[in-house]
Amino acid sequence: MLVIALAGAAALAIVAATDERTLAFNPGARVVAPMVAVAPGEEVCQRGLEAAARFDVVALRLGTGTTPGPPLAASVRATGSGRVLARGTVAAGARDNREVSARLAPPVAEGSAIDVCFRDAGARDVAFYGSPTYESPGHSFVGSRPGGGDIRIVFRRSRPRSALSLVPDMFERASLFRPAPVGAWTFWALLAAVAAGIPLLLAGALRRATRT
Amino acid sequence: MVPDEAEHFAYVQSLAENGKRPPRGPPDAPLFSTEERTAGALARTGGVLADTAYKPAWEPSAERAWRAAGARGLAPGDIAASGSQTEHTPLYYASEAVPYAAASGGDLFGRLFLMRLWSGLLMLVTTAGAWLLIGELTGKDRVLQLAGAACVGLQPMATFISAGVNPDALLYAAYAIALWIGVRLVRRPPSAGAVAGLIGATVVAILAKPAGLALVPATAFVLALVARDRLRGSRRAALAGAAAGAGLLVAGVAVNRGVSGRAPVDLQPATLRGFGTYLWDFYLPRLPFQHRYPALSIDNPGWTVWVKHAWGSFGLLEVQFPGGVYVVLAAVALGFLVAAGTALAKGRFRPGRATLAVFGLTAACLVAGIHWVDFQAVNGGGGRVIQGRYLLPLMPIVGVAVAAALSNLTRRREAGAAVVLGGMAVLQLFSLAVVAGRYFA
Repeated sequence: MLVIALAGAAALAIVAATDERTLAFNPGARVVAPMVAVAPGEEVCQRGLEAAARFDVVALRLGTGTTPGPPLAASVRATGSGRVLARGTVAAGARDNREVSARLAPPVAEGSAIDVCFRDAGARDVAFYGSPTYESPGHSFVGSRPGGGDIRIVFRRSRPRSALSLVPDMFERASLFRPAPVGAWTFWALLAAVAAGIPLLLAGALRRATRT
Repeated sequence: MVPDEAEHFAYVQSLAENGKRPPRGPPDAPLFSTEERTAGALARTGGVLADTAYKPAWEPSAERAWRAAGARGLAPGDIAASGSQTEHTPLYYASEAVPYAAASGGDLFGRLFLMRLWSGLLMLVTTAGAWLLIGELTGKDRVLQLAGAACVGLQPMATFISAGVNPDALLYAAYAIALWIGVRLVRRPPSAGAVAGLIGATVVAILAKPAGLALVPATAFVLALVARDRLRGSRRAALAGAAAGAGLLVAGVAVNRGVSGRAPVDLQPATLRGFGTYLWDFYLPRLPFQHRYPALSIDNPGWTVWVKHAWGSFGLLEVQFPGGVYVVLAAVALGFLVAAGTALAKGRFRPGRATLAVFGLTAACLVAGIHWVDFQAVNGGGGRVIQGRYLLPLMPIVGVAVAAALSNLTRRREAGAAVVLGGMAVLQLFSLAVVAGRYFA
């Protein structure tokens, strides 16, 4: 029985080591509807975000109707000072409600307070998919004018990480919104209990049952 | 987060803070208390259910925002509306009000954590009930008992549901206890305590969820056998029968209000024909002349519901294993069922006809009831409401089937049990990994 459990744990480790993930974090908005529209030359910024992990790609969905979307100039700025931390471009030709992305340079460090901005560098209007926010009217701004909600931006890494290497991060994330003293340690303990404790208990129970 | 947990939490909050069931809430107004809505918005749990690529809040600033919001409990004038869950009877929610109150010094997540632990303890009751049931049928063969009970205690979907705030956890426990006592009553000399226990467990099941009503025919069957065979003509038999009838009647009346609206009993020939077509379409390819139910044509409902959803579809059913895993699980389950049938046919496992009748009645009534409710929704032009987890109250019977299958092994029974135990432990590990990967990676 322990051999099966051990083989299972090894198989899981292999699966997790080959399961590559590019998501760095997402800040909350969902794909509900186009929330903000900008005209050529205008810029929309999603303000007051926290870089929960290092990233160098931003992905979003554009409302373009039946025509290909315009190019967008993307920039990540430090909240408050407005200092540009990274730049990138969303290529022209985006289709409506399909994910497009901009590779940023340089990568943005974890922990920064950031605003993410997109300037319409084409000749057509474009809208940004997102969702209404709990804190209405949200954190999107066209210039100084509040947008209709939050833009759905997904922050990614250009270099994927395996799910196995993300386990410590996953446990940190899972420990949020839990009562003290629950923390990442709790999930490490649970992992040990499920991967080793349960098989050992079952093996002990089987041994005793066989004797009985 | 398990299905409808926010609604179930709202019910408990209303009971614990106001001492009464929550209102349904107007259709155009938000559900839940201000505290619960704030928590859901900042932890981003609602979006997780609606968008498969979405994640809950990962960043510590979201937790800090929650603390800064300072929402606590049910403020004066605030309403914890819980939608359609308000039709449920309050037994499970009243039990959850205890951990809610015990953690009332903490914030919502502290209360929710303790409430989930309480549901988790109910899973232990379910497993213990299955262990006792299988022990009743396997005598002193602890190996079979352990293997069968482990299949219940480590069933991925059942452990997932019982780890959240959901009355299904109490339903599973009540079914396991009722099945154990019912089988004990048809195999041993009865006692007043056992009869009371069976009635009590049945009433608890009914008051936990309307699906508990499916236990009533089996319970009535057991009580009838007890009255006929053991207490014939005695005053105690009459008293036992009257007590059973009264208890079940009270429970039935209590839940009727909640059930009748969703699944009216209509035995008109046209309705029954429609039900027959629905059942055919659910399990078999639709014939050209049959009525088309759109909700049944989007996939293979029998496979989706009874295999994928019953074995393990987590979150709001969107967190699943790769498709091939379900093929393996279904093949293994089928193999065990065939082996159990072989053991029965060859007399290697002898539960007795009365026990088989109890199992058959329970399973048939539950499956028929689930389908009837689903048929009402589908026939009305709506989507399916049937879910694989509704079948999980029958897990103790599956545990018995596993024990029966292993009884075919006369020499290497321990090795067979070891494979079952190891397999279930590995399945549990993978299930937790799939869920963790969905929400936190």
